[in-house]
Amino acid sequence: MSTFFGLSIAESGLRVYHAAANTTANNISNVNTKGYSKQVLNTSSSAAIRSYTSWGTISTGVTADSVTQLRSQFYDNKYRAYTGYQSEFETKNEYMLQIENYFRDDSTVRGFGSIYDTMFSSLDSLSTSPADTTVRNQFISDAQNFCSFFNTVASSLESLQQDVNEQINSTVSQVNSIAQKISILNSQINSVEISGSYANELRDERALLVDELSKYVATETKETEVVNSNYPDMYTGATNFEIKINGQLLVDGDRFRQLNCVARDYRVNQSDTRGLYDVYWADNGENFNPTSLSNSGNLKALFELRDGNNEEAFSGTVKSISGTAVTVVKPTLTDENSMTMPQNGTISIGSKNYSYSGFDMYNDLEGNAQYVFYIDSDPNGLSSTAGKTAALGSDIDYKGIPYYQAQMNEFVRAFAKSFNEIEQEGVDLYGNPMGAFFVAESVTGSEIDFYDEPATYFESSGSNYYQLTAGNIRIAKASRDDPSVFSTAMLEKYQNGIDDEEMTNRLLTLQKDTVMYRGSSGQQFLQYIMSDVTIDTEESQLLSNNYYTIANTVANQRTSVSGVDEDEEALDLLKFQNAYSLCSKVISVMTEMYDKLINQTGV
Amino acid sequence: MMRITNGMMMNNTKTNINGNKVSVDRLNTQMSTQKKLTKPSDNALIAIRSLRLNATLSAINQYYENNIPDAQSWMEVTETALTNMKDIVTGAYRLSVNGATDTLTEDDRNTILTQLKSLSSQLYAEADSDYAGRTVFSGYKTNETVTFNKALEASDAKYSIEEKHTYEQIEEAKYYADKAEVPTAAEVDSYASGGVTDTPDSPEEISLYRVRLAYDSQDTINLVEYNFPVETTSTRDDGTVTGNLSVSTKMSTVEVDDGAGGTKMEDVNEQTLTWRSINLGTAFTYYSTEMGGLDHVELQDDRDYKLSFSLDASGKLNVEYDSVVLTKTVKNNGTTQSYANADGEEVFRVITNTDGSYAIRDSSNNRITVNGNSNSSVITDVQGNSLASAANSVVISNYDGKQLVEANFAGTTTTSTSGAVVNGSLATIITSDKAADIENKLSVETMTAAAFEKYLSDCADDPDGMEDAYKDKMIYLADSGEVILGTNLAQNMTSERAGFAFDYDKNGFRSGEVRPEMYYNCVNKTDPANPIVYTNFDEDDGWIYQNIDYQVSANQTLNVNTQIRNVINSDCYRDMEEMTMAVQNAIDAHSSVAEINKMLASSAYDDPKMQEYLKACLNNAQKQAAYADDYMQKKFSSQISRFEKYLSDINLAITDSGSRGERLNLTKNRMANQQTTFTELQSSNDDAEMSDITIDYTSAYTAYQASLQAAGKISDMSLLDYI
Repeated sequence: MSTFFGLSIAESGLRVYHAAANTTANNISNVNTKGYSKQVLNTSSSAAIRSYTSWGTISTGVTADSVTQLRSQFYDNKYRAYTGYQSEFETKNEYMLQIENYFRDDSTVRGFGSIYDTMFSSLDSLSTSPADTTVRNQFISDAQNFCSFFNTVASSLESLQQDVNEQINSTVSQVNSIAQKISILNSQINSVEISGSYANELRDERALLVDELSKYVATETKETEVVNSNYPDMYTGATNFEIKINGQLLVDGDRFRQLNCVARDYRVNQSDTRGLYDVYWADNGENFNPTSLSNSGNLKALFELRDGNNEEAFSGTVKSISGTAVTVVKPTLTDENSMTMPQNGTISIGSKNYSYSGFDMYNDLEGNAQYVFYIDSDPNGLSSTAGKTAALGSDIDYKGIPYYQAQMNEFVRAFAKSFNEIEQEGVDLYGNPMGAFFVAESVTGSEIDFYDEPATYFESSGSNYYQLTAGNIRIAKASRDDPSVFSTAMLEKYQNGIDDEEMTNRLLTLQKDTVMYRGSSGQQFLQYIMSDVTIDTEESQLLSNNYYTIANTVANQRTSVSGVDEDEEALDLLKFQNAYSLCSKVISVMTEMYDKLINQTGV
Repeated sequence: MMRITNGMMMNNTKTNINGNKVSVDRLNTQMSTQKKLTKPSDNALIAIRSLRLNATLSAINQYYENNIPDAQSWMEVTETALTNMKDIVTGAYRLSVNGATDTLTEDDRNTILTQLKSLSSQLYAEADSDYAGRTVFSGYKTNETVTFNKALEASDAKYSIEEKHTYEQIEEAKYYADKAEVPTAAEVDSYASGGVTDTPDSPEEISLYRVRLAYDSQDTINLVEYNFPVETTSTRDDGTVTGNLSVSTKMSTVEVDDGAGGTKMEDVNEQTLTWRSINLGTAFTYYSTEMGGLDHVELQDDRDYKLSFSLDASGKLNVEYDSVVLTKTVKNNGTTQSYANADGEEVFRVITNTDGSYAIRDSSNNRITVNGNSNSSVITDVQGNSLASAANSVVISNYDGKQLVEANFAGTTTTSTSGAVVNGSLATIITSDKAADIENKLSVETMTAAAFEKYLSDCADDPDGMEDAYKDKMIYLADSGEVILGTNLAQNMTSERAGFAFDYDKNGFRSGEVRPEMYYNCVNKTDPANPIVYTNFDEDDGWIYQNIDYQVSANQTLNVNTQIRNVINSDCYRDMEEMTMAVQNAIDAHSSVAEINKMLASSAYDDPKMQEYLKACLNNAQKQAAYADDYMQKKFSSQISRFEKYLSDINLAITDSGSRGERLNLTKNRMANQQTTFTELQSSNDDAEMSDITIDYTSAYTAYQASLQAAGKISDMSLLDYI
């Protein structure tokens, strides 16, 4: 045993506590750094020296083993799961509030209810004075407001859908970029850790990225130690970090996958905007399927908002194929008013997609509705599809934008049809037969007046109410230009006098006595839509709050493990300072002892 | 114990402060908007209830603020006009009392004339009253005035009008034959020089039955419907008189019942058997004989061969053609009997009911209609399927093809008395829906004004002869819009309580005349390309009300309008016109007397012959003046009761309108209450309770302050500060 051994012990203490104070300093300085986990210096007493003396071994001081971070994988996982839900519902809430706003109708915003009631009030005035052009004008302008309401909401929903779509694109880019960053971090961490040390900061950075990723998609992580295949028990220091999103592999060590947004060249729903994105894996082209049940996060919310149809997508069973005409029976939609299929698009039969150029619907001999889709792509393989399921789009269990579009379309079709059918029985002020009052404006700007519609046969390209949507409903130009072109009387009544009110009275029954939409009257339309919107908004608000609270709790728990506490650090600092001072004291004492021994002992 | 870091505390504090801020913000918004909700999803229940209340309130507002005031104004205009009309008719009533009772001077007559003219024009000016440009008395035709008030439009208007009358409107009217005129100098000279040997005939009063139509100066006039008995004896070749047929006609159908005033031809549903257009080939007249059986009809073809069907009391169906009787015994009551053709197939069956009525059906029990033609008849069922082709079969079906009387000659050859084989060519039945047919039977004569004058003159010369000659005749006077009825006809009609309808064309109206569409079924042919048909009466002659109904509450509509027809009888206008004419005639007659007197006194007519002639004329003129005075007095006196009637009509209309006004007031009060109630309901649903909110706000604000304070304390210090 060396005489000066004590100095060396004290010196180890000085070094270790200096390092400990440094760690504490690092902790304190990172107290507000996002994602930072408290680091601790792990120490152990140095290996003792055998002294071959009666008292055995001699301790040799303290050793700094490692600087590690305090992190709980359990809380990390929990935190990420709840963040996923929270961000899913927060996104939904954010967009639902906008949809809710479109349907708003109260003392400050004149919405559907007031517009509808005003229109019928004018009609009521008209019924007391059917021939008065001023009153007619008032009614027609109120009816135009009615159309404008739907046009505006339809175009708002359309641009909202576009916004959502763009957000999907940027979210996917985010996911891609995170995947890439994490894969780089993985290799950096490994290159640090393979040498036996801990890449604390890099791990913090990676964890932060995974936290962010979990906001977008449901994320699972798995870290496994890399073992030497020759010596399975040998620890290499390297780890393999794997990330699965929505159950599918995204990052595997230093390899990562990318998602692609592919703009559709067809529509799934009649009122969809063009160029909606579908998300595929770049490497194998498989569908990412963001709306799966197990998924969460903002991407799922965006997809549900953009495509949510309340599981009312069209589907049926292929009955027969004749050339490129595919007959589909047992369809889910049988009423032209509630049709949501675009005039041409893509239909999936079996597991393959075929583009079609149009479809017909008619009742077979038993009175069951059946469709014929005209496939315009290569019909190869079609012949063997009999009995398979044909579907357009997929059932998405959420009342998203397409749902509200479909509801509005269904309402305007039913309303316009009921209204026009009464109108068409009468004559205008000139005694000419009245045509349709509510018409659809085609893409070319011409009016579709529903005249040629056969009673028994539906053609997707026909002049029928299927062509009418909330976005294109208009008042017939003839009536807009000349208020006399509006029927308030039947021909024979007209001859008996212009102030016959039978027609207007019948039109008035449309306000609340005629069943036309979801088994109730037009007046209740808003109430239905409103309850749909408000219930979903309330739900998203509630769930978003709940998940926020839970995520917050978990975050607290996580912080409880890995957070930096200033008091604690201050205590540590004092503790380490004390220890350091003591070590220093030991050296002073030792110095005095050596002084005594060397300079004064035996001199 | 859980490790708490400063970060956690800060984080929690942050969350808590935010939570407090959210509630402060919410309450603050509630306070500043005074509404419970800022967006519907705050509370779906309240939001949706608010929508419902809004809808109800908006309807109530529409009723209370628009429809009810509108209806009130409308009815005020109506009532004002009605009150004015009442005053005018009262004025006319007073005039008629004056004219009827007093001995009148010339001045009086002139005054009455002026007053009458002005009252008459005022009365109809009131009828044209409008509310905000809409005529209130014209039903749905609010864009039309009640009268023609534009001279040009009136003179261009062309109408075809149908008017219905009953025996009650038959009245005795006085006409004057050989009206006295002021002689011209030439006439006097001619008499003096011996050119004319007779003095003018003295005027005579002729009393005739007439029905006055609503308009004079008609173009054409037709009788189109009547339900009084007309003697239609028909004589066959052999001189047999075939009896009476009572015919009631409508525009397009002929109803037949037996002529004896007894049993009617009825189908099994006891509907009067009516037929139309049963075409068997050639021209037809039909009649019925004295009835023996329960059901009987006879047809006669153009050769006067008679075809008859009858079911007698013993249950036999007799089909007789030209005296050849073909009897199928219909078995006694409650049975069905089949009739087969030559091939043994059942052609039809006769089902006898216990009440004695019967039905003839095909073998599948379908009702049968048969189209006959000159050579063969095809029996078809109602679906038009041919049952059998049977020559010589005849079926009569009712006019909507549902019921029938049928006979089948299949297999039977009948020969006529002349020896010709009669296969088919039985008869043609043409419905007598043409006015001409009826008029032929009635013997109607249309007379111009000149012809009528001649007629009157003849009557004066040979009263009994003329009366006898015209006793069953009808005379149309298109110029004056009158129909003269022969004495017999008039009496028969009265005793039979008959009614009839006329159809006439009128081109050009006078300004101030009532538009025909306000009272009658008519066709406006002013634009020949687009005739407008006005239907004011339904098939049962019921007036079709054109009620303008305002919705005045959720489940109540109020009829606001009164139609002119229910205010003033269309006769009123012509009554006043005739009164004016009577006064005018009296004035004219008296001035004739004065003028002849003047001539007598004139030296130019000193010649005794001339004096003689003029004295004769003066006599005539005086007689004429006496008649005119008498006529006017009688006319006015007869008007007294009429005006009383018109007054009571107007009073009724005023009362009716007034009671509706009362109802409207009640509704208005109710709506006012409802408006208040719903406004309150809406307010209690939507509006925030200020005291609650203020308290909540204060406590939320306090909590917010406290959380800020706590946060301040927490972030204030850590152990590091003490090192």
